[in-house]
Amino acid sequence: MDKPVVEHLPLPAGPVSKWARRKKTLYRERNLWFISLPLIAWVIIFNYVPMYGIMMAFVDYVPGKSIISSDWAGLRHFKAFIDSPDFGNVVRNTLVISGLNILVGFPAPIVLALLLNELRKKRFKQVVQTISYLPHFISWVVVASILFTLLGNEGILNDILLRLGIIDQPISYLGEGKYFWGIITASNLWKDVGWSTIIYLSAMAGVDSEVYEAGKVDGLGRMGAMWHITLPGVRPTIVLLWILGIGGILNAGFEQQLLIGNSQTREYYEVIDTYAYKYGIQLGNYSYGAAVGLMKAVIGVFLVFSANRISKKVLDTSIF
Amino acid sequence: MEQSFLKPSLGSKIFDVCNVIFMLIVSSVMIYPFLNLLALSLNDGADAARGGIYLYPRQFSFDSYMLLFQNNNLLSGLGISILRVAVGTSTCVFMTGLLAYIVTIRGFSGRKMLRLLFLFTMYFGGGLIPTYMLMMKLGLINTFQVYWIPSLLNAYYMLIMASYMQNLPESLSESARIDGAGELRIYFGIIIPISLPVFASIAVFSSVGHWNAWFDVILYNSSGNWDTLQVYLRRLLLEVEALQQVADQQLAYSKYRNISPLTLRAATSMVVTLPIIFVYPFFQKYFVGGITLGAVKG
Amino acid sequence: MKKLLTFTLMCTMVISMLAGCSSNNNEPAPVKQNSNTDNGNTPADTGVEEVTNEFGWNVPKNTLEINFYAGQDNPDTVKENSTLMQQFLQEKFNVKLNKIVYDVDMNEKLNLMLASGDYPEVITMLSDEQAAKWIAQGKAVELGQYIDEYAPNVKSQLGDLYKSFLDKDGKLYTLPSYWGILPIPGASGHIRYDWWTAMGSPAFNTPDEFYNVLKQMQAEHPKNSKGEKTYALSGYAPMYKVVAPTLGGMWGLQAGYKVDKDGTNTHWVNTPEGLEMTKFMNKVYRDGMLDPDSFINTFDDWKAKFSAERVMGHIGSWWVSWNAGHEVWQKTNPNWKDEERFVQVKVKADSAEQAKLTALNGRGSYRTIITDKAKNPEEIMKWFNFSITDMGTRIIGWGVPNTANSVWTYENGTFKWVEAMKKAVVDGTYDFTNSDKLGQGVFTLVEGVGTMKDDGKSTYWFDQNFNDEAKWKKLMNENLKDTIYDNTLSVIQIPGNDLLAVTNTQIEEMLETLWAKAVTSKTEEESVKNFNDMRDKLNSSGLKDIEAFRTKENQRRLAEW
Repeated sequence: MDKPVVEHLPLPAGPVSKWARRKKTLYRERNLWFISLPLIAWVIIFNYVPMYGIMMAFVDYVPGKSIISSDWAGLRHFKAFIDSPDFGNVVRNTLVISGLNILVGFPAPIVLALLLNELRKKRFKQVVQTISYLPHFISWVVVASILFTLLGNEGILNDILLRLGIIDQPISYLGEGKYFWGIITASNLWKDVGWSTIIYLSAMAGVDSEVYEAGKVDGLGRMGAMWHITLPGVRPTIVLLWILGIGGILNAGFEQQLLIGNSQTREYYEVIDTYAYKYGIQLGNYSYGAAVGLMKAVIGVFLVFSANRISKKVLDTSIF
Repeated sequence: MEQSFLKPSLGSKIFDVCNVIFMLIVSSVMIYPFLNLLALSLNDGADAARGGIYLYPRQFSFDSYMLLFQNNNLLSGLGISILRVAVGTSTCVFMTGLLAYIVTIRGFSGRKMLRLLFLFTMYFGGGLIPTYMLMMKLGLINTFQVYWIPSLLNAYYMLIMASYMQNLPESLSESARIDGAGELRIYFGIIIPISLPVFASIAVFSSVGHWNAWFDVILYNSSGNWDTLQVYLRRLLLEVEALQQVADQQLAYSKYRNISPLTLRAATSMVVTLPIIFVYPFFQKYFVGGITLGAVKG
Repeated sequence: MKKLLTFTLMCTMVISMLAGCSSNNNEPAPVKQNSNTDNGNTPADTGVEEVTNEFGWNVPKNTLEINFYAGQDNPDTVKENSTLMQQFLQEKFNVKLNKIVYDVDMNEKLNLMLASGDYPEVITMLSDEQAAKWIAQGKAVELGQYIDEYAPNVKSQLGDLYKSFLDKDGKLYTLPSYWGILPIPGASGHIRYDWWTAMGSPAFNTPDEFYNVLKQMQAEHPKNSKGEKTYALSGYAPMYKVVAPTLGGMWGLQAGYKVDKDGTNTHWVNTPEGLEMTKFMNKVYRDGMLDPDSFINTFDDWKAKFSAERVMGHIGSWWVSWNAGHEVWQKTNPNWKDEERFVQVKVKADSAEQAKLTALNGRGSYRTIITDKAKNPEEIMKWFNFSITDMGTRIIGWGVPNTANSVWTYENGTFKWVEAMKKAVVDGTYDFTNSDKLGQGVFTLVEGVGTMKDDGKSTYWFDQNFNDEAKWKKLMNENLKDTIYDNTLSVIQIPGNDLLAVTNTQIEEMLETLWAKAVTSKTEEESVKNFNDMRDKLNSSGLKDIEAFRTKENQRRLAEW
């Protein structure tokens, strides 16, 4: 996969010093570096310069003072998070909700994209595609109020179950923790499945039509073409999103938790981000928020690197 | 894919029927909230507060839309939103695409470094205050530039585009290089035309992102001179949020009295959401048909 | 086609980049949002002698411009509502007030302002805790130095309260807004009036009697007109804030705390009264009289049920049953009758000496500071000095006088109500958008909302001036007159950026969760057990520390104020 393609430029032979070789490479690639430099400058200015804010995690930052002149706190904010009575619960919820999101939310758009791809009527396909991505535009506030009319004690679901005689007391789906994980997973799926198909559809469109022709000649049926041509064609995309998904496992959502969750389901909805928000930003404790954010980032990067390495070994595909 | 060249077998037919039924179910589940919002927005304001409106309005009224369109700022907001999407999306897609191209050139020694440099930005950031200070020092506060310059390059988009470009046959760009074409020419002349599906999908992502963005508007452009359409919607939603902080009972009463009714919020949602929905069908054609690489090769 | 698309996009990009860059430099960074630049009435600032206008204000030679940040609000609405008032003040007073609001959360914006150094000369609507940050960083101007020379009225108007704003070194940094005691109800029990009179207006006094009346009422109206189930009581989240303080007041607690004469504060979960109120709610719940979604409802959800006539009572803020009750019905039901509404009622447990439903805070909840950006703090103090007077408060509170839509007139030193407007308020037909246009309350900086000293009856809130004549307000005030108390000494904020603040957040969250559990228990024994669990959990999480902090602060205030 990684064999050099710029072969027309001969590599220098013989024992040249490392530095000289590097210089030669730089010279050979000068055009590429010339294009890269502005891009590198951009990312340094807009992303790396503000990163001094990470230092906030190690001091007691007060807005208005500089970070350097703030009191040193060392690892106190990290300890405060780990020692907080809710820590175990919060980590559990984050991992479970994220895990469910990956388990359900990862394959679903692939399946939907494959099925959409199989629709024969072009017009129908386009309409369905457009409709399926509509929920992405509905704000969580609206989703929460729809869930309330659907699942509240007097919601439509309870009404149906009561009329059918399946239950004799309404069930408080939104008020009991055990239902929360299911509800949030379903809501996330509903909201973003159509949206996520876009990437896969574009990847599928990139599969060369000639390959399908060849498949037909080889006697592949529809399922066969789906399995042997379409899926392998989008494999790099699947692997990429999988690796990024693993790296993002500590991002279990934020707004949806705050809007769909309530005091009665708090033990099940509180995730790292909502917790850091309540105890960091809302209390004016930026350092606490920064410490939690830094912890998440380090773990996220570690996970991405591990996932990347595994995928390189097992699937011979990697993202860097 | 157009599969009309296949002779449909019985199994294939059953599959088609099931597939269509499944898609109809999915569509109806997906479209409901929109119909609900539409019904709400067309209902009388005071009446809607009583709840119980699902698919059609109970007391039909155009008042919300009338009120909305009396606001002249709305039109300028629409203009700024469109400008933001046009500028933000085109610059982001071309520049990120260029970045993605560079990090897929095999044998380029800076490839991995560049990928990592951008990958880290997905996880580490400076937080709200340092970023705000940066924008201030760069003079981007209260300008239009703050909408597109800070979002010029996107690591996530880069990875997606790169994963697509990796699949392209190497021979294409290689032969051009031998012919003495510069990298920019290869990018514009060869890579973009054969990568249209992924460019189109990133364009959808980016334009929707730009259209929906509101936090950077109220944060960096608080002067109100560059308010986008989305801000008008957020304003109505945030208004409700802000009320919960009010401590004085009389003050709370006077504030709640003025709150915009549910129906106005629904109407604003409709007006703000509808234009961007049509972006998708516009780009859709680039990844519905599929492409034939042979055409480019020849 | 593809080429064309690429070309178009490139062109857009280049053009907009050029357009963007050129507009980049001539775009000023305006802090003020509402500066009314097209106002051509700026008085000439030369050669005019300083004169006193008919309202008693010394009109300055140069326009006095004050930019002030007033927290999170809708900038469009604020701009619209400021226009008339701003014009009026500029013409008659040569004072130009610019109210700045943003859509951003106030805490967040304040922090950005502190970090970036970009803020106006006056900030209002601050909590004590927010103000403390500005003072600690030396960004608030000490105001005590100007009081005697420029702002004696501030001292005389605040009276005994004045010293409560001094810090321990006797310095004055903050001034209150919305301060003062207005003895009108803030919270109460509520009951559906027409249904209650139809029952023969059975008297009730204790929570149990209230419960019995509601129970009977629900038995008579088990379904609303659309056949939906009804409830005696409902509520919306967070219940510990919405319902519990008023409910506790029925047992004589003060805003959720038992406050002894010596200033000792005990949280309601640590009192027998707390158990009683939980048992009461549990009984309501067990009998199917409490909306099971009470702890989940948002205000909008609750309002929908309430206005669909599915709820017959409420415990909490006085105005919510107006807002969600007859104010909706008036508009949607052409056959609506005046009696179809809720009335606010007193409920008092036998064990309580007094029902303490409405807690008044003489110091108000909001603070105003002058920042170090002010070039002439003494000029701003002069304005405060005027606007804190009874006349100043009238102008700020009631809006522009002497115009076609004004609610009051001011001629030859006497003010009068505009009868039509007064009648509309009394009849409940007043359109409050008129108030907004007149700029009522827009420029509130240091105004009191208590009873005015000069005539002993006027008040800042325009619509609260005719309560004796307005039938329903009068009824409410009579029902609740002995449920109002002064809680100024016990309104205590936990300081931010402090371990106690973390504890406090934890406690509040646990309280809501655990109280919901205790209230929605299936049996009374279970409810008592859950209540005891709640108490133990909260105490072990640091509730005792919060009680101790409050007690200490309360006792300090008792001694010093």
